[in-house]
Amino acid sequence: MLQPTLSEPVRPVAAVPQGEAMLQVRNIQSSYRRVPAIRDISLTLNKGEIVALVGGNGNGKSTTLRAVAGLNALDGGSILLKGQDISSVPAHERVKRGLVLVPEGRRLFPRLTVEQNLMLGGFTTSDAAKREQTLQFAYDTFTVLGERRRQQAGTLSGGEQQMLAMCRGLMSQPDLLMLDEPSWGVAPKLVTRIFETIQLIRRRGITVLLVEQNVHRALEIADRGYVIQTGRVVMEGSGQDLLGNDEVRQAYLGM
Amino acid sequence: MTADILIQVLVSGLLIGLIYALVAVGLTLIFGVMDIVNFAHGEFLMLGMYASFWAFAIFAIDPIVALPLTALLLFAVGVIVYQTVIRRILKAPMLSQIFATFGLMILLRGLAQFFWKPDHRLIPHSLVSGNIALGSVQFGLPQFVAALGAVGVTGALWMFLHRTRLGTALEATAIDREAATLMGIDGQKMFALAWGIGAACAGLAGGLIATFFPIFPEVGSNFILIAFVVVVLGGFGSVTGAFLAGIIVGLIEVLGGFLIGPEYKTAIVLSLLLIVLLVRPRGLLGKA
Repeated sequence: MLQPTLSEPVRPVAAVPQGEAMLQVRNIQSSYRRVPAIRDISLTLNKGEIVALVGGNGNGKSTTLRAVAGLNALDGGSILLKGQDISSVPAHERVKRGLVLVPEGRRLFPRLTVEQNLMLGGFTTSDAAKREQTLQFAYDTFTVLGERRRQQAGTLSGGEQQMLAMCRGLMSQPDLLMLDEPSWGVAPKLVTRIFETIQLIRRRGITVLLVEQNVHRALEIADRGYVIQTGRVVMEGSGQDLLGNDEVRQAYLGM
Repeated sequence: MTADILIQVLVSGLLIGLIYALVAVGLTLIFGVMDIVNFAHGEFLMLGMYASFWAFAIFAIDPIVALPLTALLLFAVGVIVYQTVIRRILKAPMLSQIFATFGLMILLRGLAQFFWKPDHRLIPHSLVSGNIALGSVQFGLPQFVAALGAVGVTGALWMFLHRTRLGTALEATAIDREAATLMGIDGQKMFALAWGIGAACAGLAGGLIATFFPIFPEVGSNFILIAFVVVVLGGFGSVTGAFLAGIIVGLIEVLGGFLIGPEYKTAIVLSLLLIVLLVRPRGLLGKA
């Protein structure tokens, strides 16, 4: 099984050609209330890739995304965005640099309108024309958001809220979009739509880092995946390789 | 009881209620954005009154004319208080937060006594003085202007929060600070802004009240207790709620005082507070 020992030495990260990588996460550690949540995570995302993080609940997937977004402090390691070390850049500044997290549970502003939520997503974009353009893309892609743009975000269905959250994440025109459990609380018939949207986002040239309970579908659309267990990367490979891997199938796909 | 007297009572209640509302909106804004109760809010009002007084005494600027300056000055005071005191206690236990703003209240009162003496001061012959008579209904012009000012300031604040990008960002920070951070909004800046605006509202209230009320170091206590009732009734954090609740409290205070006896008016208002806390603790428009 996938059982690394706690005393396993910190592995050096394989050298990645500079300028190629959108995101490099190097041996990061982070704790929640003094309990280590991630012990040693290293990831590399190339420009334009969809990369999935898979693993059971409580193994540090969300904490990894939160640490990359700057919400959780690092105890060690470093994070490089487009070759620049952003480890000590505050979370709100990272948005300006092109890194956006669509968090677990969506975290919309429920009593604000759909349009206000979207406009807040574009808060760092000072160019009004650009904001308007992305807004139009959102309304064209999800007509329901356009129809309900004066409605309070809290009144939307789970699937609509997720689409709004993803569009809100796109409003600042990020280079890297991190999605934490985008299919959570979404009606089964809309889940396909969510995964299609993720592929659509990638076609717009945006790199995607995906955490998803629906491991099968996540690995299907992912170029590469990392398996995370007890706060460490225990396996990595292409989406297809991981889907075909017996250990992954047994542990996460119930096959 | 004739209709004339009833109308007179309602008008008086409405005017005083709008002034309560103006004092309360700043308090509720700060609480709504960061869940900290500012016990020194009455002292911001006091500073606004003294600013008006000194502008009048030294430069002969009328309090009404000086309002923009008073607002600007108190905005600066709010931001400085945030940066020097409040920023350090954001993650502190609630009791520490209470003591910090309570201590600030005592400090500001003490400084006012030390520098400006405990005397009651008045601004004579303000631009707005005297009474207006509409038929048999009479009310003071200063109170009327203050009430108008309260409507204007609350309206402007509402527009800012709901119709501007910066205001929406402030609102978003109030709803979910972490989610706002993920939008690229700097929470620290928003908190400082909330303190600045909150203090400026208190300063404007002070400037308007200074045209008809004596100015002394403890003057804030005359308004702050009622302002807390207004904030609770309106719902912690709701500007619209505070506006409506201010009017309701003003009407009940004056009407109750008229029907039962003026010596009971504060007791009546505080009974209202108890009833609200028992029946609807989140207030009229507060978040659940």
